[in-house]
Amino acid sequence: MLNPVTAKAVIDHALFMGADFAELFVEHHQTSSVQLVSGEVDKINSGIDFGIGIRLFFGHKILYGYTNSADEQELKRVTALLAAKDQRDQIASAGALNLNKFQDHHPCIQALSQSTNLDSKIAFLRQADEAARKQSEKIVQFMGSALQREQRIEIFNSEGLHIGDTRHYTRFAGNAVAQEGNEQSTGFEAPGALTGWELNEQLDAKVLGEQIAKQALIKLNADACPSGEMPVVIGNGFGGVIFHEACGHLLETTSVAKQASVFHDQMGEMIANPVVSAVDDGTLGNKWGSINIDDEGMATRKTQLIKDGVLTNFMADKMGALKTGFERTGSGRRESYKYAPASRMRNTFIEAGDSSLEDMISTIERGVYAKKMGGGSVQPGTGEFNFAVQEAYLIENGKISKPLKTATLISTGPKVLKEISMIGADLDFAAGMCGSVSGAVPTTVGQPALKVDKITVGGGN
Amino acid sequence: MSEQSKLQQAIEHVLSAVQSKGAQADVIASSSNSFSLKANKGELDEYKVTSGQVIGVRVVQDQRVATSYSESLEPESLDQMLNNALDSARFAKVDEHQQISCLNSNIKSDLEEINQPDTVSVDDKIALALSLEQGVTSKPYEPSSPYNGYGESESQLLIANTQGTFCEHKERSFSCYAYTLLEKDGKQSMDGASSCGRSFSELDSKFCIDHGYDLAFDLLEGEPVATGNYSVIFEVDALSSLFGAFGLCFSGVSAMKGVNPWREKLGQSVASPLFSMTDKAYVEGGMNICAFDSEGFAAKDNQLIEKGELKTLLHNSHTAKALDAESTASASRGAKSSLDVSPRHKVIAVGSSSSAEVTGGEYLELVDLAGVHSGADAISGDFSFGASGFLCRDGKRVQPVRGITVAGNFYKMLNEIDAMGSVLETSQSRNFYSPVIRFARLSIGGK
Repeated sequence: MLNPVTAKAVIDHALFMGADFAELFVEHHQTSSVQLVSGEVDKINSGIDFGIGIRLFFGHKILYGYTNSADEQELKRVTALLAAKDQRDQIASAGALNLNKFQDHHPCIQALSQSTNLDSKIAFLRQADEAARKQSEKIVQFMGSALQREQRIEIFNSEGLHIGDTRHYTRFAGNAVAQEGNEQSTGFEAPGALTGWELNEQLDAKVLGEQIAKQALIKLNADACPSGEMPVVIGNGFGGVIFHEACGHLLETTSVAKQASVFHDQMGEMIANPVVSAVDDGTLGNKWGSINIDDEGMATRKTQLIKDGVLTNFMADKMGALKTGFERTGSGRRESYKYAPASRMRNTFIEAGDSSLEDMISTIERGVYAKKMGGGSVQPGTGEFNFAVQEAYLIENGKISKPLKTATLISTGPKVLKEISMIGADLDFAAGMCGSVSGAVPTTVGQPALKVDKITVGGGN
Repeated sequence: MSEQSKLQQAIEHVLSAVQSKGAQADVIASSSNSFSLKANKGELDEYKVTSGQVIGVRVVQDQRVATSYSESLEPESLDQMLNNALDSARFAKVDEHQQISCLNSNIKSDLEEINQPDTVSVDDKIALALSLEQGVTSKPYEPSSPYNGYGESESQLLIANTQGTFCEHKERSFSCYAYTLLEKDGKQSMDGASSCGRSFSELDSKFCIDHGYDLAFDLLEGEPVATGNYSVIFEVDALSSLFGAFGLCFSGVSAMKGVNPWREKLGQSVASPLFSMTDKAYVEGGMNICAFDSEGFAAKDNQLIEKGELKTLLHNSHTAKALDAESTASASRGAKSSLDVSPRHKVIAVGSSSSAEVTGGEYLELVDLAGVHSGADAISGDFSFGASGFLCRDGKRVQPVRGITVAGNFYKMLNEIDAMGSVLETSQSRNFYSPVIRFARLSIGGK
């Protein structure tokens, strides 16, 4: 995408101006989306993003700029603008660029650049729509979308790195609305993977439509969720958002380096109940949060964050490693060329234990089974987090008694990690988008079902 | 060639090609330059300079609509963008209501207020960025400021269509923010504030420093209150985010899709008679000022709710035709997105209650809401968020409160207003205005 001779000239120019390190991130990003509403194609959109991000290090200071042009003079102009205030005699010299090759661990068959497959996508969405509506006449609306992206990246840096990758993302999203009288409720699912449109062969549109409709129907006329502190069993899959928010963000060097994480000085310490072991793994085949290389060009890897309750690793990008001294983990990620990379999660999950869901529920006299979670957020400095419960049930006398409406769970990371007392064997994953300093990136959350002994539940009762 | 000339040339290329293919279209082209700074431990941590451009087309052919965009303005890229849009349109439903309907509109957003010249030196801007962090760290109890920054942006927007419309808009904006992280006796507290404006001199760094620090300090010893129902007042920024989460209820697009719970409520009561709300195109100092909407129609004020009665939804030309309503010129579309609607400046009318009447007795003043993006169901109206603030009596804060949830139903809440203050307050983002509103009862989850 960018002539290596041009890249080398720009990098040389940056080092001539005194930068310790220079990097070019080149991105060509093709997108296609189609949305179905009321069984008809409501929106179709496509587009191409192209830009180059220039990152310079002067000590621990990051200088970042971007442009839509691949012209050498324009790239040098942006570089000069960035370095103007820090210009000094040259202290580093650039290595010769060597093209790195690697094995693609996430193969794609039906790439967007080959075909948009709009016929097939629309048929898939219609099938989900019909399945949802067949569940009940109370399903009054279904909205489905299919999104496919193809992100080609190329990275050059002053250490001689020249590497490129192509990432193929496909995601389906469905939202059903149920109505009875004046009351409405919704159901939602959004599976995705680092793959091409062949994802549709792994997903059953009929089953998806039915699941989404059932979620909406079960909440219709459900009782308000109780409020206050109580035991909660959190379901597998997207339930992993609890670890993502409660702990994951606090283990990124982005917040650790600023001492804006409550865990910044607790490496090697017991920060969770001994039943908890957790991982951030970018290597899982075709998972939504996987990558071959991170956005700094480093091969990604599996990072054991917590082992038997003990903090064992942070997730570190290049600058995070420089600032904290912890080893890089292939976690430098960014939404696009418009952002400097930062340490970010990939596929983050709590490892499987040996309890069954029934065992966990049977230990609770009165509490909540949060079967399906929604999104959440965290304040890293204090560890205070919140996340939404999308599908919940009341637990009474060790048994599930009735469905409940929307609720929120809140606590702090350090507290909730110690309150996890039982972990199931049913590890599962779910796709999500994570927003932070370097934009929104695809991440997978995951966990088996688990029991939290005490957490604040915010419901309507 | 200037940025504007490049954009204009690209627009002309696309519109000419559209017409040669017997289609209609509107085109949005924009460019922006921005500069931002962050500080850490007394030095600049990030220095960012960016420039970008994008062009997007919405084509209508045989009553079918599709959109496409490109960040390259090269003729080949523009042709590919247009071909993609036309190819996609073949799959879209036939929709007689979505047309390129803005005829010969030539509006220029030329308010000096929103596009003031900037003569401030980079050194002065760096000094401001460093002062934000220093201002926080010099406060008592050795706080840090892990998140702080200065930013500025100048942008231009051109909208044109095959019906003779050509509208131009230019603006410049500035912003800064500072968060305080305070740790004392093993307890942590973090809060922040921001300031924005149309000139560098408008930025209030002292407010960012003091307001964030004071809140972090005041909430440090916060504890949950007992679980139960409380009377609640939301601080204006918290109220702004709450109304943002339920913006769907004002949307003509959502009504057209059948998911807006107020789609059949025009002329009916949806809120307390104390509640009136207008979407204003222009508010002095507002940050969403533009003389035209994303189809090129002249922007105007729209009374949304008057004394509790729903007067109109927000419409673009498409939703207005589909729902047989009058357009409110609220079309919203970026170069990369499809046609939608959005408000400009939401203004809730002041009431007649005195401060003493609004704040009499016991209530919770909520200053921060967490998880608003995930804890709100705009269709059912149910919400549940993390929250912090103060337990108050007769206008005085008697206990800092943290670790609680606030839950309720937005549409029910609007009908349960006890009092409406008489002084209009402005959100930090300067696009939401409201007096203090006392809501009768919300469910609080605590200890």
